Amino acid sequence: MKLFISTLLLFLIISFGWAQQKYTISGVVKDAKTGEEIIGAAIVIKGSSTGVASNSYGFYSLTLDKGNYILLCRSIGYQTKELSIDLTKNINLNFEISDNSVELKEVEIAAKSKDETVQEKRISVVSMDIGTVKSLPAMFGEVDILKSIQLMPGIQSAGEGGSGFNVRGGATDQNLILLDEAPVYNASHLMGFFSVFNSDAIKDIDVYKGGIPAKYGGRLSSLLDIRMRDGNSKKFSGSGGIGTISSRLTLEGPIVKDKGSYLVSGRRTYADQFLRFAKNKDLRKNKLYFYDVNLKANYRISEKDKVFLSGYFGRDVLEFNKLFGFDWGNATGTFRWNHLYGPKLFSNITAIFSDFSYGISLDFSETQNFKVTSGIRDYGLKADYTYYANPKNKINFGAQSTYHFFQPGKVEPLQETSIFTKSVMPTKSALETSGYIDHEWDISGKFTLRYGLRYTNFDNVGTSTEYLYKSDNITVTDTLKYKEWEHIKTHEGFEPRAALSFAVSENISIKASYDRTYQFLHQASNSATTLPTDIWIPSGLYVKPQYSDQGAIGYFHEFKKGWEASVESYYKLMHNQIDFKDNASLFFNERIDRELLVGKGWSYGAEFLVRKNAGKTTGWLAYTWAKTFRQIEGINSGDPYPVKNDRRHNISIVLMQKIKERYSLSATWVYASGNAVTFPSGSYEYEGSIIPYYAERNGYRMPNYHRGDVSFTIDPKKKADRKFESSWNFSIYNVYNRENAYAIVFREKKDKNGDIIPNGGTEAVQISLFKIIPSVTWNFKF
Amino acid sequence: MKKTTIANLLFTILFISILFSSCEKVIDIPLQQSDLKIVVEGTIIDKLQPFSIRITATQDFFSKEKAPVVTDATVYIIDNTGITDTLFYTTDGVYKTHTNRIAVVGRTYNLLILRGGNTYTAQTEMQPKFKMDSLNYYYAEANAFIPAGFKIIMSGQEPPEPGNFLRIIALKNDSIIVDPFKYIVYDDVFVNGSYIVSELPYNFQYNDSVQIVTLGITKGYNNYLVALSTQQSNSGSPFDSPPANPPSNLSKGAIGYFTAASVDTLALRIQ
Repeated sequence: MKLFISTLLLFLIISFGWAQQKYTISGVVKDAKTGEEIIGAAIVIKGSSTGVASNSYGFYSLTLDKGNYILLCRSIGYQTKELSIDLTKNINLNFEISDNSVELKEVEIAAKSKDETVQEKRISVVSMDIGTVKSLPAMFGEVDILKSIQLMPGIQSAGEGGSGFNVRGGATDQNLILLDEAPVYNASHLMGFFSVFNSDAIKDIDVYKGGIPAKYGGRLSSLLDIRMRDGNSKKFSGSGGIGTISSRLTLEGPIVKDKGSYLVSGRRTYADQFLRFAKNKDLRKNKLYFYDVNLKANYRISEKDKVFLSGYFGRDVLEFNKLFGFDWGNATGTFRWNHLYGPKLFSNITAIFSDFSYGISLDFSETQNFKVTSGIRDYGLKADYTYYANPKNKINFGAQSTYHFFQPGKVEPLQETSIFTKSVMPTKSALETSGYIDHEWDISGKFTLRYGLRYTNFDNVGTSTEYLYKSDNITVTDTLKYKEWEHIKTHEGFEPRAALSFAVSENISIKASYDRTYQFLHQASNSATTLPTDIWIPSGLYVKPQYSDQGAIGYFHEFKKGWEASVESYYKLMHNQIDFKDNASLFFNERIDRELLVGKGWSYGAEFLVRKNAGKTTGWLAYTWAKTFRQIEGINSGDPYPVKNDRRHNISIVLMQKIKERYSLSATWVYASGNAVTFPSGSYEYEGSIIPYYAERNGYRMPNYHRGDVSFTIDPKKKADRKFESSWNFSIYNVYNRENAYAIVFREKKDKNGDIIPNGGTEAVQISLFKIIPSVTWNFKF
Repeated sequence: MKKTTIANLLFTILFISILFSSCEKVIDIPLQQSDLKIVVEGTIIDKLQPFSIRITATQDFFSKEKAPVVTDATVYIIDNTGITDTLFYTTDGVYKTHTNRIAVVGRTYNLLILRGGNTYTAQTEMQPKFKMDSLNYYYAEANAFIPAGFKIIMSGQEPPEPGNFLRIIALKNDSIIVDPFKYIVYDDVFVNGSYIVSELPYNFQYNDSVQIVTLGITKGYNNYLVALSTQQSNSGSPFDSPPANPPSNLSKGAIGYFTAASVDTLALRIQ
């Protein structure tokens, strides 16, 4: 570690050794029509590779020698803007660029700007354009960014129709999902079939499968960075849609023209509204819906200061006949303050709030009723700085502190007459504090190095109750009560990160990266998919933090006419991986750490991507070959076993075809070899029932999965001063009606009424979830 | 398109979606075969009757035969006061003592099985009794979960110490009810020391004879039954827990459970 720090210092000295008299051009890049700030726009000197990309707030800073320059500002789907400048002092220069859909007769769907992949210095990053997400076929017509990113190599779906995903062999809880900097603890609605992100409110999506910058930490395998739109700062406008299962409405407009804007976006499903027409009276009383609300406001106080307020609130509500109720959801909020300390130092201070909670209530009778509630809450503060030293050197540094509060469970009677007494599981609290520094260094024009270090300190603090155990690890010998903020246990971790990019030629580059990542919060899940009831467990007296080491190498090649291809390969070693003992009891278990077993995991694979980004036909072909294992004492007799999401082959094909000016067609096809699964190796009799007997963990494979989806979009006629526009989207999920196995159940044979046939023997039954699903969505904007 | 046609279209699509979703079919899957394991079923109780256990073996999952019985084992039950009972093979895998025995609350019982050069052991402790004060019944209209019928309400004092576990078995007209739930167990974690008035999840009809049996059981056996019923209720839904063998208290990879239980019985007729 010392060696790493001294190398870091040495590099910093070398790269700043030649400091000279220079001037700085800085400003923000905006959309000319909406005033929306543009992330990742390139500002480059014409005829050279010197340049900079705008950051998450649209800000850029470029320091150059005195002289005359022609600057180009370009971004995905926008017309390139040229400006000549005479640099004799520091200049504030804002770019307003127009999207090219208005002028061009034949709209080019360019998912990425032309030479982006090769010039892109980052490795293992998937950027998804929100326009691409919206044009892909979707289940029930619900546009879903989490499902769209699963079409990229290295990111695989955790289950049919689900929004849970696994990145390079990682578990679903090892993805850091940030919505405007706030962590989202449970990103799914309706048992994982829909994600919580309303695409109307989203501006930008980046997924890091590796090469995660030192700025981010807290999860092992990936970072999903989602940025909400800021809202139109030029004029009031709205958009929305009516779909098969939900409706959406977004309103946005200026607070003060060109100085500030707001955005309000909502979505609600209404499948349960149809239940009102049900013949069965009992059915009418049921509830099953979810809703999301996204809010954002920003205001530019001065040239140097801008503030943002963002919020998300979403909830699922399920109620069965007033007897059983289940609701869950997230609430997140961030307040951000961008401040410029001169033209070269950009800062952002963020206050973060995130909350996830669920409640289950049962009301069977006067005596049998109770409500269980559980949740996790974060309060955080962070400061991030970027120092734009010169076009070849950029330094990012900052610090973050988050207070986590866990309420594992609370049971309360609903009525006084209930036989259930109030019972509260001890709460847990922790303070997670980290600091980082990272340096982006353009060494020679051909070599680019980004390296950094992150340090995290994780303190368990009171109020809490902890237990000491005998050597059998089960019998409690002592109960320790901790007062508020009283120190319990500290864990810490150093996370070195490095990524090197080498441009072999203008069209070819080779990149490599190494990351160490730490994760101090673990999600306890024992089910086939992610559920709202899966609780988060902090590292503590007995649970150690997970950490992982990943090395990746990639080859990127760009061809003519918008074609590009890449291969990436990785190896990842994951330490302190947790799994549950057989038959672990997780629900309302105060000593859940007794049910955990710890071991190591490893994963390796290769990812191939061929993509066409320009022209009437765009799309990609992705193929991933991967292997993921775990070895944990106490599971599978201590032998290595494939994890559930170990899937050898994943293929996805995406095609988007512009037919005429107003019509477009898109189609996707996915193929996945079977997940690892545990099937019985025998059976026995107990009290007259036939019970399966299991010999090894995940020793079998599920059948292969494949599915095709299509969608057809009719856009409005282009008219110059048309205020109201509407479009239609028709999509078919699982177009050739394949019955994919969602689960295979082994049971005693049943008759038509579902009763077990005495001495009828056993059978294996395949459950399929979604057969062909047509849907239609009508979208509008004004 | 008019509003009505849009509404119609949405209705149709929703209907089709529901119609087509979720289906099941029987499939052929080749399964590996594991080594034979012995399976023990045995509950000794505080009623004067022979101690009895049953020993069978595992077989192929898709086998159509009845479970193979083990006839050549030597079986002992030894309590912590040193009393040793020998169980002799009778029929259908069942081993019994020659005389009537009674399990005593607070004592520990050890099962010892010698078979094919292997020694299998298990240990269980006799737990306190849940004594029922009364059984009542009332007629309930159908609700979303249960059809119309007579419901039984059981009353009794939950023992004051924490960590009691209770299994309930119901008999309708002298045969054990297995539906809707085969294994019904209660633990006192939320209701410790309360006076319990609990509606049981059974349905009876007019003139049925009802017998309710409570068994005070160990935490281990409770966990075994909970795991067994969890595994049996796995239906392919996202809530399913991963497949696993229920936690047996037998050594050497034998499966099943040996337990002692204190029993209370009340009966009534619905009229």
